[in-house]
Amino acid sequence: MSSKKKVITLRSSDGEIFEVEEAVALEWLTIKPLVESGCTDAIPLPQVTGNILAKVIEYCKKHIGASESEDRKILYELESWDADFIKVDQGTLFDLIRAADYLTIKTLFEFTCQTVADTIKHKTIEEVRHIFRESNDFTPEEEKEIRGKSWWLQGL
Amino acid sequence: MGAILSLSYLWYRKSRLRGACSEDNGRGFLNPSTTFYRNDSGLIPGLPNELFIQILARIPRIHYLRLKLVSRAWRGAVSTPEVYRLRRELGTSEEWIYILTKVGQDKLLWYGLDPLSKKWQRLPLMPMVSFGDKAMKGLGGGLPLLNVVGSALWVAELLRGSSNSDDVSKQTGVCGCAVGGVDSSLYVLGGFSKASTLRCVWRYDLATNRWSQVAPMSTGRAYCKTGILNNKLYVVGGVTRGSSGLVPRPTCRTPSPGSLLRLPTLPVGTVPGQESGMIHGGSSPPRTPGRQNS
Repeated sequence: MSSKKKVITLRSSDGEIFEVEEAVALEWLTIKPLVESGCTDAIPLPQVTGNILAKVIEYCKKHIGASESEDRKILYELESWDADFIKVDQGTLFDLIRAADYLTIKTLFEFTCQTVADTIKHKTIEEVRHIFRESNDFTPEEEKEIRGKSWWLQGL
Repeated sequence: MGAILSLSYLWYRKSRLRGACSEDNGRGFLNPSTTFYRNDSGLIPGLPNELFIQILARIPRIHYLRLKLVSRAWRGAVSTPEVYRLRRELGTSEEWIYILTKVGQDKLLWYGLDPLSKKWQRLPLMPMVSFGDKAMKGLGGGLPLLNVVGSALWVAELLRGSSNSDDVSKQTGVCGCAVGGVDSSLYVLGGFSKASTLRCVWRYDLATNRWSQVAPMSTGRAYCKTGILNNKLYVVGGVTRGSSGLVPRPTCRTPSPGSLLRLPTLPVGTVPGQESGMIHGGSSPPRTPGRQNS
């Protein structure tokens, strides 16, 4: 990595301008080719709003280099930082997933998807319906049939 | 430039982000070909369905039956083969163990064990339909305990049925069916029906949690062995019913999935109970179990 930190300019959908280090931008596979080609203009990101882009940049700046660290203390610190970072409302969390997908940021995509997956798996059916605004559209007979198939023996 | 970002690199970034799907078909496994996709209206508000599938594939499979109860749309999403394909690509596939038991006189029941949650799942009853003139009841005459661990499958132990000698005379004693697991499905092949060997092949689909009958083998056989090679299920050896009783079947076939391919005859006839006919796996557990494709 060069000692002079090259800065890449990004423009969010709502016209906000952000500057990120080249090393960070290179982790975003969608814009990587543009960064590598030496693009000096502001790169437009029409699918990401300013507040989400700020979060994305915050995450990537924190993770650059640190994710590969083998120092337990650093990893532990990163984990607790992640836990605080992801304490956002559901709409923001989905926006982050979409942004990570759009920008192809593997670490953030993995982290955000796993967060939602973990949320779902710890909820009851009713809670899942409530969170994701789904309504039970099964007839009582259908529900009975599915429940009949979902049969468990707990433990060994 | 915006246009470039939104189109040209789409295949590139999708294929990079989502693992091993082929580059020329970066979104292939998310093609909206399945029934649950509701086009623009996402299953979850604020999240496209293709991303919702990404989340589902990261949830342990033991939760899937429960999630099917959320709504029709969720049931459709959890039952789609894309979820299982994606699980394989993400490496979130799980290894389960399946055991076949016999309940009462003629009911065959499979149980699946999730070693992580230590929960047993009871699979739907195997359908008992008549096969030609012969009912499949005889298939359940025995009680084989089978470990199915992904592509590696072995018969841990073959137990005699709980039925007493009177029942044996009615139901042919030992089941003799073969079992194989491939591509998120469990196959049960052949076996005995009374004194006849069966051609039929049953398939249990993990995604839909249903049994269905697939293309039968060209001849009835029992005690055949199965193995997985290049994601295809091979059936080798076993016995069939000849004019002078049961005779070894030295040929092997691929009943998976749907089409049948006849293979050259083995140079040596296999004898029931011996392992010479096995392509893959064996009667002793392999040291490193394979991964269940689910």
